[in-house]
Amino acid sequence: MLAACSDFPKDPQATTQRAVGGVVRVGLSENPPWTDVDPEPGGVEVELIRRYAEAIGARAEWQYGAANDLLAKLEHFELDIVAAGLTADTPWKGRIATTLPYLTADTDGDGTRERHVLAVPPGENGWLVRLDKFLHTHQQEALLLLSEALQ
Amino acid sequence: MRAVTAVDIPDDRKPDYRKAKWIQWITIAYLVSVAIVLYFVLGSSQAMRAAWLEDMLSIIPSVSWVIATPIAWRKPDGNFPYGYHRAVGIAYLASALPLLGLGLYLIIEAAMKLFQATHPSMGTMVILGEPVWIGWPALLALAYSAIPSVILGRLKLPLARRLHDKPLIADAKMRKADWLTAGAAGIGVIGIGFGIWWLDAAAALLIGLDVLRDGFAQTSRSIGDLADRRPTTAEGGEDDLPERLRDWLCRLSWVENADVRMREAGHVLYGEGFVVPKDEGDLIRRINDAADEALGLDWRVAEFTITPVASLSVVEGRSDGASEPARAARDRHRSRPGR
Repeated sequence: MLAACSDFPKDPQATTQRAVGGVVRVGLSENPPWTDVDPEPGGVEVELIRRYAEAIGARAEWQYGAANDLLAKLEHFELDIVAAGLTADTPWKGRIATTLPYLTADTDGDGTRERHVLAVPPGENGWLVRLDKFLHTHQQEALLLLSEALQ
Repeated sequence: MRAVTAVDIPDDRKPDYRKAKWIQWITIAYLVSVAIVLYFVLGSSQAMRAAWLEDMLSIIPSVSWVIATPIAWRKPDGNFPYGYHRAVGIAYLASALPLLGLGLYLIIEAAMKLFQATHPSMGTMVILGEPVWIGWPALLALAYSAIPSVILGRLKLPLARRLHDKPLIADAKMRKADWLTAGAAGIGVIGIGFGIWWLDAAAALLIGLDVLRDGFAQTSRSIGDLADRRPTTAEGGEDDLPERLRDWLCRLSWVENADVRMREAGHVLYGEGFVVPKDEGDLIRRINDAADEALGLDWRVAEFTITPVASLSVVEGRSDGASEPARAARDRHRSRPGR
């Protein structure tokens, strides 16, 4: 049953087909400790995406920019993932898709727990579910990466 | 002018009323649970949203029925000398109007999504610690929104017919048609699964059209009831009770000619008979007896006043303000053999 559903749902824009064993186009906006661009890509999200790319036999290609510009590109399928330290309550939610939270913690000390997510193009559900499943099984690693980044 | 006789639910139909009340409460509880369950599996599917909104709105008819029906059977009093039966019609209109609005809203929204080529996202849901594509629980939730609903509709329909309760009949029929909404939404979800993004908005558009059609039919029917259209059967067909009453009056020994007009108020009927008597002897007693007897002809007749007139032409212009089909029905009736 589950095996039969492995290529379900499908992507209208074939993102999975293009990225697996190829190139993952990642938009990166500086927001430490989640994302860093100086001197080279780093941070919790970057590390997670690196491992994800490795898991699907792909190479990550980084594009730097402001979060808004990157998300607009993502909306038009010009990027495959945007990493910008986004949380699940992002106002972009209707126009792009967000993953399951890879980490839920009170990270800004305001007493509420933020749900940290990555962003993917709208409606690329096969791609979204694949990344979701990866993030779900790597929640412990995300926590470890965060505590390393904060030291 | 006698005060209106209070009509009570006939004894043999009281169990139907109690059963209907139970089913309505169960319906309300069930629909609330459906609304909650659907909310958690919406994703950004337009069809799922349409099914969810339709479900929430379909709580209104059951709630207004539960509120209005006990009011409708209250005894007439000084403030409401005709009784409270109109409460049914008002409740009916109140549950029909929102459907029009929702239908339009769903159509416009789905059309915009199609036009903007919005790709609906449906991601993952963690169930028992396992990430699962949200489409699967969504399909299950849709089944939950349809199957009990259809059963409730089938249970309500015979009760509604026996109680001559139009809002309840409309509600039961909508419930029975719920599998259409759920089916369309299911096709939308499966479409998303196959990567056919537009199928979702197309399904939502269909649901919207269906809701609009329903809203239109029910609004016009409920307005007709409130505006004193001639009586119809519970299903909305033509009721020949006015003709039967007129023929019955014509057959009375002291009556030369007669005409009848009737109107509907919720469960019950009010009517007036205009009678040309053969002679004026004992007229008051005869009219009283006839009016009392008329009440016994059908449990729904709440009041029947009989007015003696010199000739029917006096009332012709009014009582024959009956619609063309009504007049045709009457002519058919008159030409029936064996009368």
